[in-house]
Amino acid sequence: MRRKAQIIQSSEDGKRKIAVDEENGESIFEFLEEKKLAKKFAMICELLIRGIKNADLYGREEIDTYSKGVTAIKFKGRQNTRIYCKELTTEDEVLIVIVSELHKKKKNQKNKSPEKSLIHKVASYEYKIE
Amino acid sequence: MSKSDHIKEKFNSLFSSISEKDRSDIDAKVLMFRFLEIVEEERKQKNFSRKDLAESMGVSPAFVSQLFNGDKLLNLVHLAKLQKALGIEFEIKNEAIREENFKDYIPKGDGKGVWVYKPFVEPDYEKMETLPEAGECFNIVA
Repeated sequence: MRRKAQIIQSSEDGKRKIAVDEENGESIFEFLEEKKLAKKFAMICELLIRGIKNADLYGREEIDTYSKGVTAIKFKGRQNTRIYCKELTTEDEVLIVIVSELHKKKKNQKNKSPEKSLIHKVASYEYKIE
Repeated sequence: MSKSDHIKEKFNSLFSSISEKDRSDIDAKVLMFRFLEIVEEERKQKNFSRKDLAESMGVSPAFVSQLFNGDKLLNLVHLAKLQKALGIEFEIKNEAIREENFKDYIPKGDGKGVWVYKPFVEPDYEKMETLPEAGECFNIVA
């Protein structure tokens, strides 16, 4: 079944958008507020909207052929949180980053089973953007 | 309220609740990341490690990580050292941000030239020292 995602930010020219998974949006929002990561999230969104690359804060998580289009917003540090996202490009060349699944604590530097499982889960999502 | 509106409202509140001070901090970091994006490209091209970069800047590798994570801010001395280390020069240019949105004013060609039409704004004649001559064009879109 297709999941729904809500657009929360858009670039001035409309060529880059950020959306949030409707099912997981609330828990992601609450986590960001609780851990005081809202400001950093807003900063990373600003980078995405402007198309500024920074692999320390956002990057591809394409670990195998089953994880195409999966990326992650990275909150490095003690908590080491990841928010896995899915990148889509529409027919009219609009890039949409869908903030999908929260991974509260990445315990290893390498992607282990919990990360791989979430990455594959996000890769399998099909979205209807609203 | 529907679930979709609820999510939208939550995230709108997240963005709009950022204080003026934090907004300035984010703007400063976004500016820094524009420099760091170039630095990272050049570093990879020149096969420099982050440790090399730190040494050339006279800072610790941990400090470099903090910069890329947005936990610290670059200063102009760091930028000058980065230029030297990477053998590059950052180009500085300014671009005025226009208040008006010109994307709606689509240029139209009529065989004699290209015209950009925009809504006419009635000038404040009281404040004008001289009234425009008949046929004189004012309020032109550059």
